[in-house]
Amino acid sequence: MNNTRRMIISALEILIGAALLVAARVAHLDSAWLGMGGALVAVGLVQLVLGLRYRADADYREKTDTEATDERNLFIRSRAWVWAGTGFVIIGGVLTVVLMILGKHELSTVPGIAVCVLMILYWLSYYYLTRKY
Amino acid sequence: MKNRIEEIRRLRGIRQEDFAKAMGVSRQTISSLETGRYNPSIFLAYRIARFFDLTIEEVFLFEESEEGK
Repeated sequence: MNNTRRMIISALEILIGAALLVAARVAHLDSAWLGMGGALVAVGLVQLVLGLRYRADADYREKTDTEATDERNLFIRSRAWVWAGTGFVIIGGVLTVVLMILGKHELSTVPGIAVCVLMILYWLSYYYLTRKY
Repeated sequence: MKNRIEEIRRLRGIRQEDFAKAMGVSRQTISSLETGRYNPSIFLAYRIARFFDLTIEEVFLFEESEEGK
């Protein structure tokens, strides 16, 4: 993603966050909306500051670009997703069984379905990638 | 996979930072390559060998026993 697009997204996040903050105050919405608005503004501001630094600081720009395209970083990111996915399936599976043993059948469907969705996504990705490569 | 990157780089008096910059990777990647913790893609291996004006076989020491590790 180029820096201009990233900065536009940051500005949008700030605007949406500010709108949520105002709406939550004016319409007395649930505090969750207030928190979400605050978080969006904070994330947008941080990204905007980093975007401005990227534009102004050549050393930072070079370092950021190298880190984004560095093949070891890409390899590590890919491995981290594999570990996260595997961990999710194991934890979700164990949680489903434990909840069923405890008699919480309705609640046990939540991690069960989450694991199923992840497995379906995995197989779809696998099918697509075997066609691509 | 074992390699001679550190040996050749030191022989030619090139700093890790400068070598990393020339290869378009981070200094940590060069460090990982030199210690053998990370094996490069064929593209990076080719760029490294070409930078040193050597063949890939002269820089990277392939051992069949390591295959698939």
